[in-house]
Amino acid sequence: MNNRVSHKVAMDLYLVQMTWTLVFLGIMFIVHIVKVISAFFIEGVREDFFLSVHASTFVYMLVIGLIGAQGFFPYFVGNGITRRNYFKGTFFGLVGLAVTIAVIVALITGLEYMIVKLFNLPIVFTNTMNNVFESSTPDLGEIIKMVVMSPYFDLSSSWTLSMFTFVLFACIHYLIGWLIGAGFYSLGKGVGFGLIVLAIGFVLLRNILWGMDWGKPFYHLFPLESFEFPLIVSVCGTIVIIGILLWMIWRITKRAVIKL
Amino acid sequence: MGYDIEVSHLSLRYDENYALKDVSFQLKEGKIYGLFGRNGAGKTSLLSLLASYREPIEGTIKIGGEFPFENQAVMQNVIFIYDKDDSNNTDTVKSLLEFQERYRPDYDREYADYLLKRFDLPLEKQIKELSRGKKSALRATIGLASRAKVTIFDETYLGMDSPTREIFYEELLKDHERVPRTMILSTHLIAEMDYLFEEILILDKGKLLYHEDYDSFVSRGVSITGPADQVDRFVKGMNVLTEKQLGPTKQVMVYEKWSEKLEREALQQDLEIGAISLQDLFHYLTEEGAKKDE
Repeated sequence: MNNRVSHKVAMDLYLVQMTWTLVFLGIMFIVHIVKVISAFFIEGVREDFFLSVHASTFVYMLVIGLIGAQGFFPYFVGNGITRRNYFKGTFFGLVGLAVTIAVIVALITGLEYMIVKLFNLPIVFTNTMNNVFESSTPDLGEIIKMVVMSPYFDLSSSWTLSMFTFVLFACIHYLIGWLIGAGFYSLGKGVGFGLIVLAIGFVLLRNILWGMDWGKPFYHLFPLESFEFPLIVSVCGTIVIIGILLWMIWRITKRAVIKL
Repeated sequence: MGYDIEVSHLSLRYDENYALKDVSFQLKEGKIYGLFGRNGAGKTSLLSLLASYREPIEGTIKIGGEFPFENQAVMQNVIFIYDKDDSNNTDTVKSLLEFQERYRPDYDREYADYLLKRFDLPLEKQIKELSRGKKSALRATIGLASRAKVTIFDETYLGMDSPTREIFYEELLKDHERVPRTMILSTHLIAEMDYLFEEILILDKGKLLYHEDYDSFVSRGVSITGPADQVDRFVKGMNVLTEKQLGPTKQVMVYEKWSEKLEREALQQDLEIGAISLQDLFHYLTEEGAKKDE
């Protein structure tokens, strides 16, 4: 029975969040098309769809993770689903969601390259990210950018790595939203704000693992250069971060009181 | 699996204050129980523990011989209906019912449809657009149609007008007869609901004051009216709840195990004997508790 219930939860959450996601991707797609069409009039290089939605998708994942913790959790548990089954269902739903988003984004990106090539359109796509950090002082904008920007691997160099990291990072951002939301819901504002700081730490750690130029805004405080790790270390490290996030969420929610 | 409820030495503390203190009782499966208490008596705390909204830390709860907290088989069969803030809920009536159908093993869709008609609830409307009374009617529909083995209604009547409340009570009674199951009704409207209860539980300041079957509890509440000195002599040693005097005539209300002998004695002394309603009995008994505490 436990499995059946957690599968149902996974399916229900997947479908609800997928509905939101289609709206989100639809809006992102329209914005992208407008940007691409503008290339006809204003000369310039345009990002491909994969790069275009990269950062915003992760912010979106964080937001829906947060909403789920505050809304779905009390609703499901208050209606007789155990915290354990909700936890399992949410995680499986998340994996499905992240994979689906990655596939949709990759397909659209592939399609746009095909169309441009097929009709020989005068559009040049770029799939490389510009220098992320411009400032070498830790102002708020740079800090937010550090959290929002994720290591990026373009589809053409290695589509498997690109898709795999996209799914992993989407999961991390969702889990961070879930962790913060669960903290605010169950443990109050003090712990909630503490978890935000911790979450920033997790994101930066993830960025270090993937060799991102994380330290520039903080270079005066921590004169560290970016690191290079073997791929296996980066992947395993990221999975460990996901594991820690899941463990923390479970610790917070396994006895959480449902508020009336 | 039976669904008898066994609560043993249950306490709940919020910081230093006890919401519940050493509460123990057993509820047999299949009856309708009335749970009463003044504001802050601990009713909702007790119900939220029964529904696994929180884990019991001091004391234990067993439902059907099992600990319900995080027990999927039990939790799905316990439904807790209360007055929640739905002012921002954009779900439709239909989607809310579909959710129950998906997760409540004994949910009866036909009965839900019937109740929707009886309460005149629009299927496609968003919850936030419903009036307070309609929201309560929807909760009543969910509570009844889910047919959960343990069904808890915590002041579900709020906002319902009198005819709607009548429909709710009527349906509750009829459905309980069709599908007997444990129902716990927490209410302040004792007078209009008293015919529903088979057993009653009274909480006061976190303690369980009374748990008895309805008839024997109510039969103990008696008013004695007559000449003041005669009444005083008669009630000496009895548990007096309240007394009123108008000129030489006095009326005393007592909570006492009543016997035919006592009744005969009263009649021989020309004293008038009357019954006390459950509502009044609750009022006086919990007032007495409040006075003792002062």
